Order: sequence, then structure tokens, then C-alpha cells
Amino acid sequence: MRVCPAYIRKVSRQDPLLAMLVGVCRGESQARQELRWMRQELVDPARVRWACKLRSRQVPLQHVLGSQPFGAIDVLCRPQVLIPRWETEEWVCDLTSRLAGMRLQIVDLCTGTGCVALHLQRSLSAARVTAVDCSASAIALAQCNAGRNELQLRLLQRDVLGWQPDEIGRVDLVVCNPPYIPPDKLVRDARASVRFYEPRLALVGDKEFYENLVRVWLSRTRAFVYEVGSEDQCAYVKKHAGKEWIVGTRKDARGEARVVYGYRDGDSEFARAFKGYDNL
Amino acid sequence: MNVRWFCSTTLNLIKKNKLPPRPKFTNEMEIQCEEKFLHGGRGPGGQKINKCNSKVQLKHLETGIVVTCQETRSRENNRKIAREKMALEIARFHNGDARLDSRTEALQKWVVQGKKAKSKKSRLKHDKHDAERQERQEEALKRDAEILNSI
Repeated sequence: MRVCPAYIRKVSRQDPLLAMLVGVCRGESQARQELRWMRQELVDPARVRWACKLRSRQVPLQHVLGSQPFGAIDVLCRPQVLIPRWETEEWVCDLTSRLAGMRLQIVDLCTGTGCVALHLQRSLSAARVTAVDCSASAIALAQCNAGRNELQLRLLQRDVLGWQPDEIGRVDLVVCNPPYIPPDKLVRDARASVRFYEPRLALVGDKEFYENLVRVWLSRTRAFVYEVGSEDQCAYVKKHAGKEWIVGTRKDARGEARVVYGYRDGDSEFARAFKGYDNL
Repeated sequence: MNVRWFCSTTLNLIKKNKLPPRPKFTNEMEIQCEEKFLHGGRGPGGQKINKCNSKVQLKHLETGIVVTCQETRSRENNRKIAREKMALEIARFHNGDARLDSRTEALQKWVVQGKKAKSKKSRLKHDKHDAERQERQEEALKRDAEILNSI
């Protein structure tokens, strides 16, 4: 949906800054919202004007303001690392309330900003979280975010796809937000702001990580929670997980398949935790 | 002469630091409410977009009151603010005809009271000045009369 120039001119008469945002926000209400947030957080009018200018060139709001709240924590965002999405926040918040009180060894693959790992560590004090990512800038940023939120994380820079994770020992739960946009869908579906300012490394992927889950992690863990982009990624995991796994999918608030999760048949602790996780 | 009656001191004046408390959102209300997160309609989602939206909607099932909040970027804060708003709305609902909770009512009274006090003060001041002016005029008249008489 494009915004018509006459409309932008009309808005510009009210507030020139708002007119800069209307195009990129695709509508006035969202533009007003963003402008309000910018004014709240940047205060200085010159900085607000500069921020609007950046925003009109499709720079993500999270980069302009420098951070994004994620559950109970506040994460810094940088151009080389994927911005945490509300879908992720939603399933992670629900998951942590279910895992409360369990003593778990958790591995967070493709951690990026470290948001998932940090949120888990903050809410589950008995758990021990290890965060893994292949990008050096992601690891540096996750370290930064851990310090900012006064949390301890074990960070490993490893390429998840070519890694035999024998060094980390026992694992109870694997969580992951892998790149899941198929290469042909990126240009068609992804917003310009995502294509221009977020790393391909964290966006483009098809089933590599789900294949890796089936091949490497299923034999080493008691449960897993993976974010997905489409139904067929769920179906892939369901098909290949084997008989001893109970696999379910969960939809997000907009009704799209967002998470595939699973636990071993007969694991009462996780069966209790995941009860009703699939219906929102 | 400004007369101050005994009864005027017994008026119930509202103090800004002693307002009735803000209505609280109780656990009981939490059970009666249905929470929803609104994230726009159609179009791509997930990693494909990076729009910042965290609108929270609370619906009180018994009374049908609906409250939404997207004041901040943080979902947790929005949830808190939505609950405060809802508590206020419920208090209003239960306050009968006034459709205001006691705190807002008191605040409005406080404003009116302040305005009244101000106008009273200025009125008293004007009265005093008027009296003085009149006195001066009378004196001038008297003097003129004396001068006229002496002639």
C-alpha cells in the first residue's frame, strides 16, 4: 500500500515531521505513534528532526532510537544484527511463564541481540543459558546487552550448521530463532526497511536449521522450541522428528504458524509445561 | 468590613496531597478481563517486517468496557498502563450517575475550589481599593465644598 502524494502534502501542512514518516509507516496513525515515541525518547527537536530524516530513508525505528524493549529487558540494536520481533517476544514470554521454577540447561541458537537468552535468564533464575551465534558482531552485542541488563550469559561464537555441540554437555531445552525467509520470498514479501538495513545472514534460510535440529540436537536434548516462518517448516520437523517425540505448533496473535516445539514422549515435566502452549 | 463567619472555617476543603487513592487493578479484575494483543491485519509477518507495534487491549467481560493502550514501545509497560486505565474505567462505572471516580471528582473540585479562592481574593482586593478610592473622592468633594463655602 502506497501513500498518495496529495495526502502527504495535506499532512505536511499540519506537521512537516509527520509527513516525513507517513510514507514509511504506510499510514497516519502509525506515523503519529512513531513521532510520539521519538519525541519522548530523543526530546531535543534537532535530534527528532534528524531521526525523522533517517526514518524517511527506511532506517528501522529500532536503529534510530538504538534499542527495543523485549519482555522485561531492554536490548540494544545495531545494523549488523536482527531486530527482535514482537512475535518472538510473544512466544518467549509465554514460554518463560511455563518453565518457571525448573532447573534447566538451555541453549539459545542464533541468538543475535541475545534477547531470547537474556529474557530466559532474567525470568528463570535457576536456569543456565548458553547463547550461540556465528556472527562476531552479534556475540559482541549480546555481551553488551548482558552487561546492560546485569545478567551473566555463556556466549559461544560457533557456526551452528557445522558444529558438533559436545563441548556444552547436558542440554534440556534448545530454543532458536533461525533465519527462515526462503530466498525467493525475501524480495517479494519483506519490507524495504528489512531488506536494506538488516543482515541477510539473519533473514534468509529455508530448512537448514530444522534439518540441523533433527540431525544434531534431537539426540542431545529433552525439548526444543524453534521459531518458524511457514507451515511447511513445521511439517518438516513433524515428519522427521521420529516416534519418540511429541511435536506441536503454535500460532502467533495474527493466526500464522510461528513456533514448532517438541518434547520426548513420557517426559512429564515438559509435558506439563507445554500443556496448552499450542493454543493462544 | 470583611466579616468571616465561624461556619466558613468548617468547609471541607480538598487538599492536593490528600486526594482519594487511584483505583487499583485487583486480581479479581484480572480474572474478569480478557487480554488481547493487536498487531494489525493482513500482510507479511515475522522476520519479514520490523514494524514496532505493541498495542494491548483489555476487555472487562462483565461490563463490556474496552480499554486499549499503545503509549510506549514496551509491551510490558503497555500492559501495566492498560490495567491502570481499566481500573479507572471500572471505578467510573461503579460510581453511578457521576460517571467519574472519586479521585477525578476530587481533583475537579480542587480546581474549582482554587478558582473560587482566587476570584474571592481578587474581589476582596478590588473591594478594598474601591473603598479607598471612594474615600479619596469624598474627601476631595469635601475640600471643594469647603473652598466654595469660604468664598
